[in-house]
Amino acid sequence: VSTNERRIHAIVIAVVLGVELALGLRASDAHALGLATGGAALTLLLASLACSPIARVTTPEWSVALRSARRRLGIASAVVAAAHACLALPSYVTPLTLTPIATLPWLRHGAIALSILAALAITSFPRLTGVLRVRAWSALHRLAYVAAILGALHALAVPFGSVRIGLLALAIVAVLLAVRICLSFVRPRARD
Amino acid sequence: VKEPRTDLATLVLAVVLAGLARADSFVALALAYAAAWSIVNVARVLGWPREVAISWPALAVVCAAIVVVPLRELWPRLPAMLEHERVASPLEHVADRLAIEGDATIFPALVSADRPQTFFVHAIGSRVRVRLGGGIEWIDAEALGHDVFRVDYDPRVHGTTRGHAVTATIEIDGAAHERSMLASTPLAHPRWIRASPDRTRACVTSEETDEVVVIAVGHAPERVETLDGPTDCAIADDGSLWIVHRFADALHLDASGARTTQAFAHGVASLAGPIPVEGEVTAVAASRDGTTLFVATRSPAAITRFGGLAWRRSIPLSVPAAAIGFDPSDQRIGIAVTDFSADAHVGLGNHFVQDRIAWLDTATLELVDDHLTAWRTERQDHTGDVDRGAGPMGLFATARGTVWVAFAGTDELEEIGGAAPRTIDTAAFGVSAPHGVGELADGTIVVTSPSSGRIALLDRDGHLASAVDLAPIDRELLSSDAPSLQLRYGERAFYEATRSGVSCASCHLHGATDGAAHNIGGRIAAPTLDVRGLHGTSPFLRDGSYARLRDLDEVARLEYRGYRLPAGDRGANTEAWLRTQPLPPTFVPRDPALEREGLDVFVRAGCPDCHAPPAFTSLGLHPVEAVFPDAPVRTEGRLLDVPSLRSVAVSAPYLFDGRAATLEAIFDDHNASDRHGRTRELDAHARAALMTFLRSL
Repeated sequence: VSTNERRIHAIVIAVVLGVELALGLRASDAHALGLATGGAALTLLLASLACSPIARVTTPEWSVALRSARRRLGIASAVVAAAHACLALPSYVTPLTLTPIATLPWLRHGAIALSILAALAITSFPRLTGVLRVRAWSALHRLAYVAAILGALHALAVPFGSVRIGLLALAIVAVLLAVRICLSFVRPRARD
Repeated sequence: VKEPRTDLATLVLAVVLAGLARADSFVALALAYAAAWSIVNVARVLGWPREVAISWPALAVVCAAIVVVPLRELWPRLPAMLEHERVASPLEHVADRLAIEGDATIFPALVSADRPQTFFVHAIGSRVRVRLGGGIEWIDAEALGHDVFRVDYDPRVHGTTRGHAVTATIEIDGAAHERSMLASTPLAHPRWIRASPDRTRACVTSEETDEVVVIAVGHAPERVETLDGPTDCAIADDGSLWIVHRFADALHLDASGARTTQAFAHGVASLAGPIPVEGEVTAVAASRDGTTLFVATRSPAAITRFGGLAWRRSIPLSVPAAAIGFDPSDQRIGIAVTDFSADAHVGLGNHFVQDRIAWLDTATLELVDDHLTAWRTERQDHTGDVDRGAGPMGLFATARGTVWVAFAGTDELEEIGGAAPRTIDTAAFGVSAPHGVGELADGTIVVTSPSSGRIALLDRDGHLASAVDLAPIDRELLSSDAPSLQLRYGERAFYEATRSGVSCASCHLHGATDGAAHNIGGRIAAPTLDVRGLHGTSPFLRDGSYARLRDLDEVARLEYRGYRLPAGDRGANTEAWLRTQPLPPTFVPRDPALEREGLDVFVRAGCPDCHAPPAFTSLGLHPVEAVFPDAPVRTEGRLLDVPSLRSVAVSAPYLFDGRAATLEAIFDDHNASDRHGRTRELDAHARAALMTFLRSL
């Protein structure tokens, strides 16, 4: 891990902690833990998405570090999202009935986002993609934006959650998506 | 194109698959994408063409040609899909904010044809008058200062309007501004049944349509027109009627009435002279000999006896009583409540809801028996579920020594106290959410349903003998006035019990607050809000976590185990009904001069920063610790939806955690930081003016 990558990780951890403080990390009950892990997962995912556009406009050294950090942050997001589901879901569903996931939009959005993140995490390991014979991984990884949108909708609509965090996340995803679409029309810089 | 774009191919194929499958949800779209990706991936594994001889513009045209048909299939489904996924719900909050922000705004945006209402207008001008739709006269607005005007509307004076929506006109110094408003013309709502001492007659009031129905043994039911807002009635053996009116502090007798011994109205009860009763009356019952009257009040919840061994005796209750009934011996009274404790502690912790009939000794008002009503039958397949005995609303002692109970939550009558419990399913004969029950001397059982507009007369065996429909039946409404039918469904859903035995009405008795605190998923228990006058105040709940009322249906499904029986869209129906519920009346005497001073204090204290006129809320979310840094409960990270101050005089307890019992206590005891309005430096007169203004809202 390069120095720049360490710096990126430090910045992301600081942002995650900031979100946690905004969500009330000091609270110790399961509800607060669910909020905290959900906020962390969304923050990590947004940080992962932000790496690509920033890498296009920064120095080659930082660019390499950002592209490397992007993958780690995405995998971390999937892991934290899975932890969030484990902590928060027992409040709403039991092993015997998964009906709320089918009937509640915000639970459903969270479940779809988690499924996408899990698929992306699995296909982020070259050895595993080789075994699974995954060739069209880029088409799959475009879904990271969909996962982020669904995650933001999930955060926005979840009762007793933070409307502000959800709105902020939605705005960030919109900006990142717009930048991504604009950059897709710009010829990529030649790699070193 | 040298390298075929797998992501583009996946996207195009996903659109085609979604179109073919007629995808109508995000899950369907995700599955279409997953299927498309699998196909593309397999194609690449099997030998995807490495080069395709086509230019980018040509590729774009081909792709567009492929997706145009699927997109035409998907496009019309988009609104329904966004509704299904509840993506558009925050828009309602934005719309409500836009409706009350800016100039020439009016609140509430609801015109109810059955009762007087007070509107507030925010307008920059000197002369303002308002017309609340066609068929209603222009009403001059009273200027209170600071661009705030007050409009008093009385449908009996200014006229009414038909339909479910009106366009109001606000004229400011001659310039007209039109505003869309909801209109409500409630259908007849027969509620409580009061029988004469000899049980040969009974009377039923319909407050919404200003009438009383008199039912006498051997005679056809008679509809009697009354003054505005009859809330309850009593009838003597000779047919004399005593009618209590919500909007008049007076006793009204019919033509035959020559005697007056009992009267009760909001704030007033008397046996031989006026006696003040604190709080809104929720239920009354008189002993058969007419010497004792029991009155249940809402805030503070209490039950008070007038007459009998002591002239007046009162005990506090944990929650308001929905109904009062004497037992056959007149030695006990039963009160229908969701909780009862000897010390009447009003739970500001998480409040427990358990429907019960608490039997009190009529002399001492001490608890002598506690009958839990909710129970389960073999129809329920989950441990702890109930499907019987929820939402007791009416009690009636029979001559046989038994008591009839009407259960609004489970659509049934139950006769308790007999050799074996006897249950009658009222929904079977078009009586949903029954409120009133009685039995006449000839054995006829009378049961009322406000939400069906029906009074049903049953024979001794519980079979329908005849019915008095004060309003069109459901089938007629379906063809003639479908929106009114939706309101009916919504009202029934409001009273309908979930499988946990809890309904909306369990805590919001008739739409008001029970004065207790509940935790329905937040981090702390919050005092129950009055849910009348909610139209145009999105978001909802203390923390503003729900942008739409209809979405609160998921609380019933998630937290309270769902419903016993399938039905239509309960959330949408309940929302439609709640939107037509006007603000509760306050009956506060007017003092315009002091109110103007109070508004001036209100503005100088910075109150409109959050409680902005005309709705007296900004509908904004504020961090609790910013406004109440010295709150005794944990507030870190919590947001608070600014509540409207309309009808604040009758919405105690106050503040987000209910720690202020009175309006004065908000500023005297709980604003040490001076952040909930700059009130520390106010002198006694300014405080009094501020209180007067707040109560006038």
